[in-house]
Amino acid sequence: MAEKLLDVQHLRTHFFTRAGVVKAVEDVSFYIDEGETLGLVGESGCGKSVTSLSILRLLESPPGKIVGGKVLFQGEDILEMNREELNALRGGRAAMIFQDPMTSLNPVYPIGYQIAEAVKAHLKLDDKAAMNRAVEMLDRVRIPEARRRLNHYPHEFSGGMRQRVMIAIALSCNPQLLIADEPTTALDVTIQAQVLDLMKGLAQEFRTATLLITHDLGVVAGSCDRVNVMYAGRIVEAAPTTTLFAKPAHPYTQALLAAVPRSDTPKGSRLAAIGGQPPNLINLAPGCPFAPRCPKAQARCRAELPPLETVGPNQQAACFYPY
Amino acid sequence: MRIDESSEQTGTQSFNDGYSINPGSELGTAGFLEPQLAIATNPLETTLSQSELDLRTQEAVTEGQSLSPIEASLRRLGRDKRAMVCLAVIIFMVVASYVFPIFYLHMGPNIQGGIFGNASVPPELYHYMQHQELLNLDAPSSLAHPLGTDQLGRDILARLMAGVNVSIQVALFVEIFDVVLGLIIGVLAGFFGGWIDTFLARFTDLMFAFPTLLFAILAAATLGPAFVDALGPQGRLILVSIAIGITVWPQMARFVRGQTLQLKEQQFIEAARMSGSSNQRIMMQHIVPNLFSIVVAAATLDIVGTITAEAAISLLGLGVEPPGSSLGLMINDAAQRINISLWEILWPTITLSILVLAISFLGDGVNDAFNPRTKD
Amino acid sequence: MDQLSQNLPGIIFLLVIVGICAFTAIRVGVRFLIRRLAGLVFVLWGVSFITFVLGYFAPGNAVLVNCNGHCPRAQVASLMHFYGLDQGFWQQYWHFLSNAVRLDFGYSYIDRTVRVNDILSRYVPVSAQLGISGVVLAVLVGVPLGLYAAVKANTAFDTVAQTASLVLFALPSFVLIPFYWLIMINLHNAGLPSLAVTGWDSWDAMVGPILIFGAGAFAFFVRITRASMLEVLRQDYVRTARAKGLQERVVIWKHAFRNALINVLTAVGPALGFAVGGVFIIELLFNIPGIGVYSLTAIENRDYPVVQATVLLIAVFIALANLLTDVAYGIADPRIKTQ
Repeated sequence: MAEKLLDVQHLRTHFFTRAGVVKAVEDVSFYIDEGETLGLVGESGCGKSVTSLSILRLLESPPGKIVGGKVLFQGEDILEMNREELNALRGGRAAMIFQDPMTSLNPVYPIGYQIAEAVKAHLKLDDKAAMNRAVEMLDRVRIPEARRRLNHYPHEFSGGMRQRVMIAIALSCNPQLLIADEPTTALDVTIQAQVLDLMKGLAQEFRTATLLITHDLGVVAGSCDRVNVMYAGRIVEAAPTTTLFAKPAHPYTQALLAAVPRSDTPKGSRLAAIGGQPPNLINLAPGCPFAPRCPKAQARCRAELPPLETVGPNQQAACFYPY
Repeated sequence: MRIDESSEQTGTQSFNDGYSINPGSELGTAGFLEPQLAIATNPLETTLSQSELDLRTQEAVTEGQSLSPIEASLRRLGRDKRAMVCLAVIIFMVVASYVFPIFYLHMGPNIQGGIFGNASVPPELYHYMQHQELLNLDAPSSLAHPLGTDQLGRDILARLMAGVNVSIQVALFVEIFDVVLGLIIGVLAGFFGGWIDTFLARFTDLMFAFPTLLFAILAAATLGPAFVDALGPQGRLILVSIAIGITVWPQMARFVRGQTLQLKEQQFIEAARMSGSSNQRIMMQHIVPNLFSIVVAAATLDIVGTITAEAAISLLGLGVEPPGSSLGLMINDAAQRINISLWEILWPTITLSILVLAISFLGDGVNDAFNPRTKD
Repeated sequence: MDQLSQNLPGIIFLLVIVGICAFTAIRVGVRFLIRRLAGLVFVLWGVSFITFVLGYFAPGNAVLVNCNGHCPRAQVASLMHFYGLDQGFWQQYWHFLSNAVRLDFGYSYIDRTVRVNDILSRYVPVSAQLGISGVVLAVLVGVPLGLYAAVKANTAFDTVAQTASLVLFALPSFVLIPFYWLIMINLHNAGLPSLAVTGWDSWDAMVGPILIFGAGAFAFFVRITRASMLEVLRQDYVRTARAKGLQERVVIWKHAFRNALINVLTAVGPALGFAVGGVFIIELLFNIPGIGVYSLTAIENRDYPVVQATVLLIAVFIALANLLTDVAYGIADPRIKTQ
């Protein structure tokens, strides 16, 4: 197999707070191949956003700090890069889209400027060419009357439109990797699908690999080649999308799937909720973090941490008693 | 466009409510409160990241869930060492300046003094803040006069304590005025809007153009003589206090109004309304108690402005008049004589500095404890 | 020519106002401008009304001041007439207002040959020099320092800047002045180079007053800039800017500072108001021949026209500064334009 585009190995990110050290990401490893779409799923607070921010080293520090692991991008460790290399990577070869389009654009600059700025930084174009590229990108993300809207400010756009602008910025420099952190969560349901389809389509067109972070399994089903499930700062299951939906190995994944309404759910039956609360990431008890909420937990689960092991073809799970 | 009501408190103003956009902070008095300033003092708060927010809940748990918000705030304040030290200093100064003079009058040896220098003068006399020992001018510290005497042979320590008393009295008077008026007008303006709100907006605009000191100077200059005629030597001070109060309360009212607007939208108010509570009841039972934090924080910081304003006006010769004592007056008297005895000016200066800094730091701590910034 | 020079302040004043208005109308919109101007007119009217009323009810009028109460009856009547004090309240008010609009404040009660405007033009420039240098210095030093403190948040530098600005902000000028004197006198006594401790006639006498005048505003700008920067640095769009791979310099200046500036701008007007009171005290203690000290003398002499003119002048200045701040805010924040 060719070299992986992104290879995250044993990433650990902690937050140093007054209340204690929060182990938000603990020993997380995954990879993305060129052009593929990987989904990273989990409840809010499970560390998936922190993972995505850690990859491009965008965490606010303090309190956040990457304390271990490697993030190999085409073989180079991002965590070892100096400022210049990092700036060349960010927005150039690897771009990112954030959750809240309402706050992700700078309110005091016209959107054209904000797109052109990224283009100028990476593609070394002059002002005019950069603006033309901005128009082209706005066209690509299907914002009508692109040239006229170039000089409009973010507050003159709706949420969905702003997220399109964010996509335009992210893809303007032909990145090989797009990290999308809950890109549709803040949008209206009707807009979500449009934006998602647009992103998917453009990623294919640009041959961009995508790391799609979401809590919505429906989004995963429609867009991802493979899925990683995170729980309490760790990856608990990794599998191709179809396998994961057909044969989830980890009890947490099973519970998640059971909580999703499906067309084949019998009428009148109740959706299963996951009992209990996600654990406190400061004082994690030894053993499997899911054990307190797990219907199948045994004594061993509470004593020992299950490693992520292959449980089936292309399928890995961190569970002593999978399926 | 709406910049969101919550920004009311942060000083950036909504553009369509008839106010000027300026934070309008009478900086001499309450500008400090602006949370933007306040957050800056707590390094841990400022770097809160989103993921740390989840921890907030856990912190609340460790603090004990049964605590009311006010109790929790007080507990936070209690843990703030700097604020506690400052509180101790303030309490010490207040208590000492009122209680100690009683004992001070009986402390010290009888001294040779009087007009001809041959009478025996007891401490009951020479430790009285208006008593002049004309043969003992600008004396350095001694057993009889721990901090020395001033240009009229008056005991400096006695005058300092009297000066602190004046500061505290003015501060108390102004704060009562400030809180009562600010609370009433602020709640009514926030709750009902309408003409009270317009009045508040206009009045605030007007007071923007009158910094505390300027307004107090104008009032003391024009009405001072009349007040002295009507109320005796204290008249000027009362007038100055009223003038300071008039410039300070709009700021308080604006904070209260902003908070009331936010509270009004909360569901528990809605619930109270649904269950048939009258407006009066909603205001008294649900809104006013929830304004405690913001009022306490604003008032603590207003005190700083008030104390410096009184000292400044007395310094300019428009406040307390001799033979009364005020820290500002003492500074001005001593300023005329820096070439003869520089140290004389240092006592009132240092006293005022300690008082003002202690209250400032306490106010800062109170603001941190009562208005912990949470990201929305 | 003479008439022109007499009306020059008024003409300049008008030109400035017209200029500001035109600029605002173009950049931010006519509705915004009209609302602000209406606000300004109201404030100016209110300020002048308060000033007039307080002066009207003040005891001791021109006559008493002029002849210590020993004038012959006819002279009293003629003086009362000269100052318009024989008219009713509303007539006097109308007289005061219509003259104030033309920036004419009549004659001093002390000497009926001295126009208040002449007094102002003699003493105001000194005060303006002191005030403007102080505030400009405060902005030029305070804003960059606050910015740097925010970027270096939680370092030793930041802590020092924080504490120092809190102390400087809390301490009034008349507490700083004695410490300044203490240092200078000790330097002088030790035979070391030192600066003058009073006066306004040489550059070394100006340094102290200007520094002390600017100290409070300086501390204020450090704090507000730092706080606004920290607030802005946490914003998602700053993260977006970083994610674009922009250089840190660009992120800080173009993306963060440009936004923080909006907050800092709103603070300029109030900061001026806050600083203005210091003029009286600093001029008094440093013995500077400015309008502050002169108006204190005028207060003692019950020379109300001078007091009223000074107060009005300051209030108008602050109101205009606030208006300018509003306009600058409207220009700096594109969200205001299209409401």
